Amino acid sequence: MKRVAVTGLGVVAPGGNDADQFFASLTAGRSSIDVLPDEWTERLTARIAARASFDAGAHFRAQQLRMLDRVSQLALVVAGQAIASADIEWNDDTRASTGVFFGTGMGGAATTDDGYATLYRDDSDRIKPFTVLTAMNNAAGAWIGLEHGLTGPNVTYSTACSSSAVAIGEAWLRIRSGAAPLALAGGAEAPLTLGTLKAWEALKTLATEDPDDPSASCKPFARDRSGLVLGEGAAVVVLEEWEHAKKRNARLYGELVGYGLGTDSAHITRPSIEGQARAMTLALASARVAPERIGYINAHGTGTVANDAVETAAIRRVFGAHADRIPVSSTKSMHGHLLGAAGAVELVVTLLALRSGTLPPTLNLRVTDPECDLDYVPNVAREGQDVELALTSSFAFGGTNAVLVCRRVPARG
Amino acid sequence: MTTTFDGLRDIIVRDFELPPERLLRATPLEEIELDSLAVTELVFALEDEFHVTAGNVNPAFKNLGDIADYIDQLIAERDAPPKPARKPAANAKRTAPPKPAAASRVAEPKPSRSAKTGARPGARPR
Repeated sequence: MKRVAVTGLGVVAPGGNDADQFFASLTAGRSSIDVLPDEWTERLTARIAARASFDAGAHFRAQQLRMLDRVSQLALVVAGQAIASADIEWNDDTRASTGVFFGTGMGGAATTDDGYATLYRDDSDRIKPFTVLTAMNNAAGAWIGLEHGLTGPNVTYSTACSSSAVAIGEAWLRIRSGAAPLALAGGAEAPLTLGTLKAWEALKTLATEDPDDPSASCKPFARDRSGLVLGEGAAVVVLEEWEHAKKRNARLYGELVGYGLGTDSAHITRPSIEGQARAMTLALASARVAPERIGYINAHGTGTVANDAVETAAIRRVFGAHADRIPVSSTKSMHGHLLGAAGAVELVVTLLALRSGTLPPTLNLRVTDPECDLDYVPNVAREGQDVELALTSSFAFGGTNAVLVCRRVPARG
Repeated sequence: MTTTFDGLRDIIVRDFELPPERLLRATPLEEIELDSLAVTELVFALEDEFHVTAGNVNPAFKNLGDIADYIDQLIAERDAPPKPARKPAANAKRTAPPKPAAASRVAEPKPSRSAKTGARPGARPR
């Protein structure tokens, strides 16, 4: 079995347009959830979401934008960041051996919305000619491959909220087995359209707006939590076989040591303690790491009544008495739920937490819930933490649970 | 007078950011990197500009002149008077208007629904 290093990363998410900016925002305990100012959001019950302050015009020309949904714009920018930070010397061989493993839940949601609006609202047949190409779920991953000339496998995973965690895990398996030395893995989501927000609203899973402070509307693990807040963003990591990275003296952001993947197969939405615990156990087993060695968990922590209690119970089941000693935080309290991008964005957060020794907090945790009784790093980041191993969880509608385990390593292996 | 080719050139300059001096009737499409997708996009814009409806499949264009000629052909089809019914029944009343045959219905210009409703296609808040 090969070891797998993370040698590059890129992120655009609510709170920051690169990894450092984003992580600084989280450790400062700043929420990027806000009231949506647009007129079209008046039809929403709760006009809150977490927007990335991302200006596509700064990255793409008008001609390119006609072919790129926002989800692909985000994907291309974070992939560019990841590749730049990895400082890889590209040639035909490295391009041919590098795959793109990508995750998205909703794909080109704005394009889909646009098409239906033209057809049904405007009663027009003038659907834009590239609607299929911009809306399709694999567009974002495909554009990354095209932009960088990567001719290895290019696959998109769509398992709702675990999409990008699955994408990263599957890329990890490939490198660990020796099948390839390099992969770009991650995910993107751009769900802030009327159609998508209304559909989520109809499911009764979105948070109600906090009347005093809308930015505090997402309250994971708190007794007064009311649901999740949707957000947009993307993250990509460069995964590289350990010796390949060492040989070129690559900068190491961490090591990906384990991946657990399982399915509830119990209910299409309701999470299961058994299913979540099994994914965590499988991840620890694949990492050959005893539960007692885990020093931080970046939780799925959506802020829904169902998830947070179930996740707490699952963590207790896997870690036993050690559960009380593990700091667990949900950064979704600040950047919202990025759906298919959540796993990738939160892996980046976890890697940076290990490297910096600063654990980002769970914001808005003022009213404790007896069913959520772990150490959630409430409200304020915890600095000076010497943590070697951490776990990050992504659980999904449809029941596909994915857990990644990562390890802090010296910056130069 | 603005010709179809002038309109075509203006759209290419606007949408594809190409200098007008490179855009001649004889300019091969590959020379200005207009691939099949770009042509699809261009024909879509031309349909709006000239109020014509293109067929489901674009003809094989070699140069910009071919595209302008195609649009001219669509304009001619649009403006052609409706064809008379092929064989009016012998006992049909002369005073009754001839029933349009299926073929002539297709040839009639199709009013844009968006023009009818005044809505701008694709104008969608994000």
